[in-house]
Amino acid sequence: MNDAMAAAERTPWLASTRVRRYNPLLALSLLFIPAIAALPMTIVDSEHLWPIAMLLVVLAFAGLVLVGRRAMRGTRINNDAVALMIRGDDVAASAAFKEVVSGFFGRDIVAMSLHNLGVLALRSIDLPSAIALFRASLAAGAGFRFRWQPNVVAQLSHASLAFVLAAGSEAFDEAAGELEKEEMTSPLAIAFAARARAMIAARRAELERVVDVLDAERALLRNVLPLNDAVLCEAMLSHALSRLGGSYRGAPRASQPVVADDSARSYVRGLLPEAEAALVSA
Amino acid sequence: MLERYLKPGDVKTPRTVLTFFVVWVLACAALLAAWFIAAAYGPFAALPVLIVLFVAVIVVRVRVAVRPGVLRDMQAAQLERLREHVPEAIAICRRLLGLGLQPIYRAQVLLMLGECAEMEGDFAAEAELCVRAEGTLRGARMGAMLRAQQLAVVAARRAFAHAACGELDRAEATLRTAGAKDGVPLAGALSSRAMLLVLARRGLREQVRERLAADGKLLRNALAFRDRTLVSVLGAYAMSRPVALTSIDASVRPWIQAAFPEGTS
Repeated sequence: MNDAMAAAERTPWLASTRVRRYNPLLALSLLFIPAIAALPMTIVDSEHLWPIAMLLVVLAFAGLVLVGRRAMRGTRINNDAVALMIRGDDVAASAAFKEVVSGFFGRDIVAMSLHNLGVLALRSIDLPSAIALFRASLAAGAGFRFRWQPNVVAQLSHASLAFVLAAGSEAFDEAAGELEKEEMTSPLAIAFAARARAMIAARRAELERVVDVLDAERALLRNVLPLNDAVLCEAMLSHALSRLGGSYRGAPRASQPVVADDSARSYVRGLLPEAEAALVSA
Repeated sequence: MLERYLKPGDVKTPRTVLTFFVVWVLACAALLAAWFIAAAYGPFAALPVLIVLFVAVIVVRVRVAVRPGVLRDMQAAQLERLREHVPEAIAICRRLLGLGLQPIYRAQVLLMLGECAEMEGDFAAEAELCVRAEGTLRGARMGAMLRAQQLAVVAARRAFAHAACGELDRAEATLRTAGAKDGVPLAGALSSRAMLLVLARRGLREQVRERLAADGKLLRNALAFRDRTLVSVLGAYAMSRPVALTSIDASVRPWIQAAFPEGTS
């Protein structure tokens, strides 16, 4: 965990901001130990120890309320930062994410903000930083928890990490492995995973596999992905069909040009330069 | 047609009183047992019973609050909708509404049904489903932030549906009901989309251009394919250059025509 965090802290996106480590002992002592400690006190010597027991119970509730309030505050900052990110104000967004990852907001919020910083790095085609930040996001959210609901942040981080590993390195097996580590249930994570599988296949020059993957999730990808990623997927598909010579699994199928603005074009060029040939200007 | 998405009797409310009564009786029984054990064998003998009771209450409370199966089913319904398998998504949503969900989940499922209606171009049904989701959110006890997050999305979608139905005053009034504070990031883009449709339907081309200039990045980065296509049609309309219907992707052509027929030629 510490290695992943330290690597993320060295990226320009965190600029030596120290990421708050999750401390299970602190969480346990804040929430459970006061309440559990109160029970034997009341049984052993309820006559004299009941004020202390009551105080411990009150402390346990206060801990619960405090944790809830901090999580809400972290969620609010994170949401505001995502809104800034969507509006293209990356500097203000990254400052807000840094505030969350260095504060006491709970590990899920910290993991989400590290993931969002990774998305900012990916959008700027800073792939080594994106890899470090996605790994840090997974490390921040790791560990034992009372949880029955799907861990959406971990799903997103695994899928994003797989995509960046495929695009920015030759670690294709590691990238494919990331997609197997968490059951994907969130639609966005499933779309990110399809994007990663297509990138792995494209970088391995498995052209028919690129078409298989993108065809299978075409509706999902266009209904979920932001424009740059949607254009990238269409460009990968068009490029693969073009390399296949206009024939796919024995049937004729021509590649279609993909309309892209300057931002989408530079995104495609940074991640899969050979696919840029499939783009036409808006 | 609302019946396609929701029939009378589909929505069941949780049996809160019965659940509370059962839990209360069980808790009293456990405490009585602990008291008898303590009286018979000394105070330390009751300690394990009390600790088990304490842990069981926390586990049950967390599990009831989280409802893991419900969350998975909600994700599955959303996935079917986004894969454009709308009938499957509707079937999952209607089954979920029969489970007696907590208000926050019930509102989210109603909103999801509204999104299904929007996808099929049935904007009147979408508006009605959003009204029900909004009523559920406003009428239930929940955290202020959670309520605000959901209300912002519901209001933005409802306003869009009203605008698509031609109820422009109602659309504008709906947009005013939900503040931007605490809204999820997508809500801003959805509100902007609704306002653009209102302005275009009123024929205010200059204001559409101004709005597009102000929110261009937001709309570009947040909206999905279908909405981006609509925004580009609205932009062309604002420049008095209606888009040829044949130049629009065939899969969204009927939807664009239903939402803003004036934008195509």
